[in-house]
Amino acid sequence: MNASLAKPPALEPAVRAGRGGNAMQTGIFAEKVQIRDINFYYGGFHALKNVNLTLRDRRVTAFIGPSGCGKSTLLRIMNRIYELYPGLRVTGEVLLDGENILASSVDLNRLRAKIGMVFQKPTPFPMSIYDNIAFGIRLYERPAKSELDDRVESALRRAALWDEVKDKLRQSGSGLSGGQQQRLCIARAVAVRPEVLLLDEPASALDPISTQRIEELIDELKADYCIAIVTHNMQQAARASDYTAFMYLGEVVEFDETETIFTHPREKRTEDYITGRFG
Amino acid sequence: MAADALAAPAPVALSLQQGVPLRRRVYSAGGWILCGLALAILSAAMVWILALVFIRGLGALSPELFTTITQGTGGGLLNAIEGTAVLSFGALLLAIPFGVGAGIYVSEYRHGYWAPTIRLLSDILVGVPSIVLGYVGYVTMVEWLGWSFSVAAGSITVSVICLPYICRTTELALQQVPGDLREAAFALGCDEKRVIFRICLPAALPAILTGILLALAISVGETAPLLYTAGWSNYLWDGRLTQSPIGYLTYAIWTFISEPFESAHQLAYAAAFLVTTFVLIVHVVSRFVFERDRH
Repeated sequence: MNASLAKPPALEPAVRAGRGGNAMQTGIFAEKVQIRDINFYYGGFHALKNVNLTLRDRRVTAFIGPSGCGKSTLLRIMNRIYELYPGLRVTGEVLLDGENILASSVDLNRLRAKIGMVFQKPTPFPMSIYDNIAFGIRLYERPAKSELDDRVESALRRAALWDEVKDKLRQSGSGLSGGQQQRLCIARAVAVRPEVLLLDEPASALDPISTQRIEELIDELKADYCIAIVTHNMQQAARASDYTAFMYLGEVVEFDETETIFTHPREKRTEDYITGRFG
Repeated sequence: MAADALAAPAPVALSLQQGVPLRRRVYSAGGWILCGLALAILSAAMVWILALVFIRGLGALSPELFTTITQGTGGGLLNAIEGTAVLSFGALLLAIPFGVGAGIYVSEYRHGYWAPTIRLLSDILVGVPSIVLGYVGYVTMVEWLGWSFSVAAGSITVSVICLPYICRTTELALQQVPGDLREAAFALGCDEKRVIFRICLPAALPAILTGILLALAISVGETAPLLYTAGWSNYLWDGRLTQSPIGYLTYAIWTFISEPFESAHQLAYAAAFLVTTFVLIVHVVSRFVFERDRH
């Protein structure tokens, strides 16, 4: 049982090195995920073209662009969730702390435990709130009941949901409101202690108040995780992120610090999109 | 020319008061009338059948029905009721694991090598007349294996009839589970088996149970295959799986309705009533209990 809990050798040393990089001391946030020369194909359609960029640890990187530009596709490469469907092909590398996660030797399940994802539509599992959170934890560990209770509570606190659900942990997750369900999904994702969080339009299905709470949550979460967020809401990207990548027709047109992108972008296309001339 | 084609067409002069043109209204009315007619005919047929069964059946009901066994052409239906219960239970005992298992495979591994074959075989099986299955059961189990008329032969034959229904409804139930739910489970690092058994199956459970109940309703109403495999017995089941025939309600309907004795007819009406009522209850229960949460 202990052997099965150990990380696969290929990823272990890189993880230690990545966590060792002390962003606070040096003032530079470590390069957590490096995306190199990524090309992605839906059958014959070339969906992502030569994408190169870096996600930094403890920072939020936003991906913006018009519909169909490939931002969600790029996100879904990072946890290899595209492999659930046939006919999709990717070339290039994605390095997590220096190790290529697209290699065939990588254990997909452990990869997805380290790179968590929250989807646009809240999807609570058909079980109680407690079990929703415990489900992920139980996949890899056998914690004692009291420790499990603590982990569930801390995950719910992280997601700013604990106070609202602490009295109804045994009730079904589907009984919560949309915003609460999404925070439940976030709690579920952080319960497995990932290193990277991928958020695919996490607030687009929610009302403005819930959206604001999610954005506040992201701001708190970035202290502990490398966060990538796809959003079609430019104001949200400007508010919530440190770096922004503007994508168009499968290419990264511009990638820079958020403030630069939104105040003096280098590319004309970026400026046109920011100012609402298209998209 | 090109400029004309691109220019916006002149607005059609349609007054807001004009309403729907007469021709469309006639067609619409005609369609509704045909629908109403079809509904009326079907309802009339169903009402007629149920009324006949209930009126005659209620007249034939008595406490002795449930306490005495058939004695020649009279007596009660206790042995038949027990026999139907035993045969159906045995059939489901076999059909549920194999049917649900096949359904899971066909749904979750639909791109696998065997999935299309299994689905095809399942569809073919549905089309085989049940009397042919009874004949096959007779030749293989009653004769070749030497089981004679028996619970084993009867249950196995009926389970083969139920199998494709359970397989199909399980597959459909699992397909109804939203793709988002599966993706969310995979994204947590969940392996495929756990996604199927801990997430998809519980979510699909109401629909799967509905399929099983419907298979039960089918099994209760089977006659021809049981004639060849379970035979008939005037006595309660002696507990033996082979070498011992067993009674069942549908035999009572088939045989006693053509006897020249009124007591036999009464048994037939009562048996028909019991079978029909049971099937009705099964359908109502599955509709209102299991499909309640659909949104």
